Order: sequence, then structure tokens, then C-alpha cells
Amino acid sequence: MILPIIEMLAKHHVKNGFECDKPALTNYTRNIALQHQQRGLGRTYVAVYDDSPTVIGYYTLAASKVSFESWPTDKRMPPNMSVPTILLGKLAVDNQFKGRKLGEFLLLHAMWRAEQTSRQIGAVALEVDVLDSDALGFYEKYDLQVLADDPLHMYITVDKIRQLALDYASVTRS
Amino acid sequence: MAITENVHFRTAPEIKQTIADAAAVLGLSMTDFIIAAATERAQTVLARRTLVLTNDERDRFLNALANPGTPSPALVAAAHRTMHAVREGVLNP
Repeated sequence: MILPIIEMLAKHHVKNGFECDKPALTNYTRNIALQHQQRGLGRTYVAVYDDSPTVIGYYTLAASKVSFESWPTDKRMPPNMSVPTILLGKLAVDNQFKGRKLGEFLLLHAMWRAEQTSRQIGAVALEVDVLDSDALGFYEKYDLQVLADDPLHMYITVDKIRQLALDYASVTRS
Repeated sequence: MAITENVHFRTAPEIKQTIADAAAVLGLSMTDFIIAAATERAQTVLARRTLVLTNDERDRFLNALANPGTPSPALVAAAHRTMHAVREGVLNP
């Protein structure tokens, strides 16, 4: 499979044919992602081929934070300060492109972007909203840890991502 | 999406009139107006929710931040695969 390019979702992208196993993720890219993006609620990055506007996979990031019921009494955290994170809210691959490691390519691209972004605005982790137990199994393979007792929130620290020395610049259009 | 579910609710006459007036401005039925407005609000709430950790969860999380450790062998292997793909221009040959 020729390598796709990753770029920010825009009006010219063709996404009405996008179809994955999870209706919520199909619906999000078709009907909601661009609207969210225009309202500043997130940024969706799509995988496309250089000569085609058809979306074959995507992921969505947003600024986020983790807060606490109560703050530790030691010096680990300033009181009442929540922890800035970058949220991976969605990630999906079109059914026609399954089995080619495109999901892995997108997830590590999201990790790379989170690490780059953390240098500019400060963030300690990439947090993931996990859709269901299928997705949980996928993310576990990539060293994402369960964040809360509700296992549908996972994370990986930015420090850990940095150790991977990822560099996707040559396949990324801003 | 299959339209299969019912939602019923009661409200004060003034509120119903306000909604009817606003729907008329946009040329929508009250049902379509209410669905659109509530969906937009729901999406915003879901997109903006903040996770609040219990003390046990908080301690695990802060500990992981203080001691991130090294990436798992599987993640390192995935990073090697993707960086190789970027260099070669081919994914999963």
C-alpha cells in the first residue's frame, strides 16, 4: 500500500463514502467532524492519497485536561491545578483499507503530533477516549494505559512518546 | 440513521411559544429545531467533558508522569515499522 498523506480535514475532502465498523465513527467523520472543527472543538486529520480527496482514515485531537476529586497534600501537584493533556477523541480507518496497518500509522501520527504540540503549549499525556472493548484491545497493543476505573479512558505520557523519536514531517501537510 | 426512537416532554406554554417562534424564524418544524439544538449542545458537552480522577486513579496517574518508564517492545516495534514506512513510502508491503 502506497503511503497516504496526513492533512487537516477541509471542505474539499470527500467523506460521504467513508465507512467503518462503528456507526458512531462513520457518522462522526461524515457529518460532525468538520462542524466541530469550525467551532474550535477539535481538529480532525485525515489520511488521503496525494492525488485524491477521498478520506481513507482519520483521527481527531482536542485540548483536554485531567482533573482530580481532591489534590494530593504533598508537592506533586499545585493545588487546584488540573493536568493539561491532548485528547485523541476519535480514530478510524475505512473498511476498504483495513489490515494494512493504517490504524497503527494514524495512531503513531497522533502521538507524534501530540508530542510536537506539547512542546508549544505544554501537555503531559495523550489521552484517548476509547469507544468500546474492541478499541481497548487495539490501544493496549500500543502501550496505552487505562486512566480511570472506567477503562474507556486511556493515556500515554508525552515522555514515553518522545522516546520513540517519531518523525512524520515528510508525509504531513499542514 | 434509522429514526426509531420517541422523546416526549412537557413544558410551560411560554417556553413552547419561544421555541415555536425561533423555529419559525429558521423555517424549521419545532421537532427539527429541538433536535438540532439539543444535538448541538450534546456534542459540545461530550466534546468538552473533563475527566475527574478518584484519589487512587490520581496517584497512579501522577506516578506514571513522574516515572514514565520506557515504551513497551510492541510500541517500539510499531514505531520502527511506521518510520520505515515513511522512509520507504510504502505501508505494510
